[in-house]
Amino acid sequence: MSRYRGPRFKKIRRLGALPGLTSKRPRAGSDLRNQSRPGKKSQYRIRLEEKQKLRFHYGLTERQLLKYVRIARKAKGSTGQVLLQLLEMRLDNILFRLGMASTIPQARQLVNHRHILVNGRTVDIPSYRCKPRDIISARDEQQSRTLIQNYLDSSTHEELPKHLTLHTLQYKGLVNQIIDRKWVGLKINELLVVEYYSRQT
Amino acid sequence: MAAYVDPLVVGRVIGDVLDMFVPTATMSVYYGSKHVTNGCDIKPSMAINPPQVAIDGLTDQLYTLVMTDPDAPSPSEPSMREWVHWIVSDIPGGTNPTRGKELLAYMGPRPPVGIHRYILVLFQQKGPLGAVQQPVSRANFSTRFFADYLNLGLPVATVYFNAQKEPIRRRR
Repeated sequence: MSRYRGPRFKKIRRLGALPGLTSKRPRAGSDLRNQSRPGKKSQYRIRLEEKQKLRFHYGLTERQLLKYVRIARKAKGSTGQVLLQLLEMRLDNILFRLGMASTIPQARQLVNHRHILVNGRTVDIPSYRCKPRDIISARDEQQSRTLIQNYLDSSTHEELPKHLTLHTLQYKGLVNQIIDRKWVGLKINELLVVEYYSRQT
Repeated sequence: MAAYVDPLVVGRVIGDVLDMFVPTATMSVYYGSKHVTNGCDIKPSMAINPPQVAIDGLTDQLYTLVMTDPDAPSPSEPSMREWVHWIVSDIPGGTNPTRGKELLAYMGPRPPVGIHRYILVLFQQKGPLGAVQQPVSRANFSTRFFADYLNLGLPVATVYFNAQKEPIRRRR
């Protein structure tokens, strides 16, 4: 699957902070050229921007996100919450939340380059869906461990979400449970995303 | 009991519309041949006409049935919560709503945007309700307030389904 390779700052100027895409932050009121035009946002635009936030934060293609929405619709419970749980349980996102990578694209590269083991087996698919009690660790090689150590050192130590446990010395993380809504690392109204996809014209 | 109430908690029916209750009656709801179960999907085109509702119970017991949508006009901004679709009172136990008194005519689901929950709530009456004033508007109805006003107590059975706008078939 192709991923977004274009300018990242442009996206965060438009959509607001996307910690998964880049650790940069838009400067408040700095660039007048990029202030969105005055006037009321249309209902469609509100929903589209919320969907784009989700897409760029998690580094998904439109087709991937649509598949996740369809899975979430079939599941019992709130479609929006199930959607966020599915996205949060992706391997690349879990590495990012553990602090083993500073952004999700960086986490994708770690997975792609076979630096990561899940339950002792190499997994090179960033969209791999982790389950509770999965153990995520670095490959038993110096290069892999050095890479992850660098990321762990440089990452801003934000509070680890309750569904994850990190053992820094063993380069190991544990998925305790499925994530709770309040620990999702992105400010988003998931109902707007579901509405975007259910809107048929 | 948990098996009945759990889907209602997961679907946030308990909280948004109702308080926690213990189901004491059985209500089966069908739209045509489709059996309505908690969280199932029903197409609005299937629900144009009132559903077939079977209520278990003794004939001397009377029930009130309310159908509402807590997601109007959209789940992200439910400014019209709840939109009431149907109210039938004085339904004898062991029968169906056609034997009761329709306080508000049935209106089928017409979700404009998003996935809407449609909740059918059954209350057991203490006695015949007599003359009950029809709601002034379908919007901003409160099932809790309605039950409180008519002294209906907690629900005895509830089922909810999801519906969303159907795609328009385009001719090529």
